[in-house]
Amino acid sequence: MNTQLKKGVLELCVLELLKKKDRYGYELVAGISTCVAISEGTIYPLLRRLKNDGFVSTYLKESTEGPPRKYYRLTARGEETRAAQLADWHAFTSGIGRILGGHCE
Amino acid sequence: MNKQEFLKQLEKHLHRMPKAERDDILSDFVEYFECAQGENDDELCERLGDPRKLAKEYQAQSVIASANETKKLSSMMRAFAYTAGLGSVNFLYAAFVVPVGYIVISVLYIVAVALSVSGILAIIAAIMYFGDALLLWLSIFGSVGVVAVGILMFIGNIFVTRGFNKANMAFLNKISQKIRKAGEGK
Repeated sequence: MNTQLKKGVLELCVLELLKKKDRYGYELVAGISTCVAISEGTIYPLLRRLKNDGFVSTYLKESTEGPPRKYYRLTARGEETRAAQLADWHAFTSGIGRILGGHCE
Repeated sequence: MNKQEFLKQLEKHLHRMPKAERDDILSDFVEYFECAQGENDDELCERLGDPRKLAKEYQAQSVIASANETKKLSSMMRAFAYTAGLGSVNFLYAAFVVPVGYIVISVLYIVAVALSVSGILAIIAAIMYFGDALLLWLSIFGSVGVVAVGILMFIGNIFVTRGFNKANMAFLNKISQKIRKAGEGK
């Protein structure tokens, strides 16, 4: 699949997963890669950018197995972005659906 | 590639970054390997992708972020130093157009200030030394003109500087996209 296309949507996937609860990096990677084939490493630069842009914040939390993990939390600004991107996504996919359904000639 | 090699490669290609930032990035991947314990190293590295491409992605990000943040000459120059390695046109722009541009702008500022100051000095001198009224007014008139040109030049130069900074930012953003695309590869 076209990587450029996938990359744009990956941000929405991360924001959407973080909406339900705070998660650590591997949890996000594993969650997304069970549904979509991605280069798993690309999530980490994305997370860093989201943090720099103020869409997510991070904190360390102890884990029962091994050292503490870095958790990501959606900020108010991130939530706004998520909602806007989701709306864009729905508008886009429904439009594509209509083209594929032959309704746009 | 195993875990150690992956981390080493990543660290190697992030060598231009500040140490704190680099360590932070590496710790994310250390955490990844810890979370995925029990799985095959080679397979994990395969799933993570090429560390060199990841490093490029990080570097593009960091450069643009710092340039956007401070907009200061030094950080812009640093950003250009990074991007200079990306193709000959970009190199020419980064290595010649940018520094020469800033030198020209600086010289223009100096000329503008020098014109204003010398005009003001000429007015003072005329008042002090010319008893003859006609000569006095003629030289004051001329000097005021010189001061006005100096001030206009200074103001004009401010706009030129802003425009040039903006153009350079646009160039940086374009380059960063290029780096990202190169990082995707496949």
